[in-house]
Amino acid sequence: MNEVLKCTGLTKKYGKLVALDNIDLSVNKGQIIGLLGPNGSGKTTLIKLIAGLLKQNSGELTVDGKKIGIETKGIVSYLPERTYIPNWMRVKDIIKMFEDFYKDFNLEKAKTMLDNLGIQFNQRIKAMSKGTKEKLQLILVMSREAQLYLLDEPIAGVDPAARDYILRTIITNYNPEAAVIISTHLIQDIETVLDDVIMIHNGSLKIHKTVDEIREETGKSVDELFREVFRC
Amino acid sequence: MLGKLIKTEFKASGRLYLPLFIGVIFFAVVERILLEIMEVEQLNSIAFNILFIAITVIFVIVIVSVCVSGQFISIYRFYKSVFTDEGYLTNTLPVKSSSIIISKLLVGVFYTVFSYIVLFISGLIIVAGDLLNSALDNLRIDLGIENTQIGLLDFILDSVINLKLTFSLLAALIIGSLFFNILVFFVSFAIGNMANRKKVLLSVIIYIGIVNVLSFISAGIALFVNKLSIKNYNMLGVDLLNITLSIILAVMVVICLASYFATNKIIKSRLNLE
Repeated sequence: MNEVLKCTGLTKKYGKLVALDNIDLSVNKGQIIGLLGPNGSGKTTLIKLIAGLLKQNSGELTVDGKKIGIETKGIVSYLPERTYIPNWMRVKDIIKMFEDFYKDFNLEKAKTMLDNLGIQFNQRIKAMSKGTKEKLQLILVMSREAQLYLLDEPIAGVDPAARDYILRTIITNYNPEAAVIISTHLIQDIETVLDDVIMIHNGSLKIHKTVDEIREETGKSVDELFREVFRC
Repeated sequence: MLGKLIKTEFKASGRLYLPLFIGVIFFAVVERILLEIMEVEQLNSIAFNILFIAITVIFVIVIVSVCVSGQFISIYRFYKSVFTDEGYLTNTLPVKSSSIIISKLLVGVFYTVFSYIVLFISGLIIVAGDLLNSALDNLRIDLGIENTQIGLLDFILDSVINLKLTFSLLAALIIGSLFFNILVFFVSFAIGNMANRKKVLLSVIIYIGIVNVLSFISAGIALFVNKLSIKNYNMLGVDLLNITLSIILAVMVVICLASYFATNKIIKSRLNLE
């Protein structure tokens, strides 16, 4: 089965507010997908649902054919917007924790990436800058041989050099058999690495096409199309 | 996976508890040494008295901290690792939400009990040696025990043999209350987390509310048993006490289970991370 993610009639409400409205979506393995949309469009809600942090009001959601639960959490590697590594830990503690809980964690890969960044195993998280913490978090997430990577705004609020590092890390380290969903509104920076584009607006799916289809059908880049679709 | 969660939680909570435990034992030893010096050297200088008072004040502060922290740390750890940014890590681990709750509950109960043991040990250190001996001597004289081989424990056991059930119920209530407090705090924070603002304040209010409801229920039970005793005038006082304790214990177990299942349900389907 090539399909790694499937949503059917997926709806999520916060009280009366409809965050996701009847989303039908299918994502195949081996793709890098840009999840695009303005702020408040429902990108993070969709990612949180897939990661198992939220529960839908209605509709079906499966990862690798399984309903969201412990099994899917074991094959989904999720990078949230927030830095979640406890400050009291050292790098070796969080590495050990990932090794303990995730069967797919590749320690050698993590060591190599940490070495490249000059992060020591004994380093305290508390003493790290916000940027270093974010990079460490990315290293942890990309060191897993997951089936689906969910990266929520990985390049938001970082300098261009860090942006390059993050994108390079994603492209060179993801499991080629897996799919990568990158949520962002900084389209220009990631357009070149994307295979597919999903655009959502006000909780509804607007566009789900390959980058090539967009270019052929509209004669526009993804960034240009985004500006046109979401013009204020 | 539960074992791994417990291991992680032990480490995370331990770094908060251990300095307090070490502090209590350290100041108990210092206090004991100062007491010895006072007794042997008959010191009465102002400087020594100031030092003694200062150490005693610090010792009391550390003891109070340990008493308060007993359950506070486990509740803080639960809130921090499940409902704040750390929740993004905790709640995406491939483990059951029930395992997360149980691991934090067990570690919380363990450290609470351990903190009582540390307090007891610090007490022993203070009254160690001569003081302990003289205290036991006085007790033996008071109780009219000539033969020290009989021992204090045997005497107490003999006295309470008829209250075996009552003591068992009391022991169950004490153990239950350790779980009860932590679980009620857990559910309070879980409910409070569903709000969009002032989550911690709301959680504390919910906790106070639940505890007050339990107090009313306990008072109601006591009244009910009292009425029962009037109707059945041949009933012994111990029986009445046992009935009251049994009903309170049953209510406590029900609230513990309800808190656990409600917390689990909220983490599973109503998590509200920022």
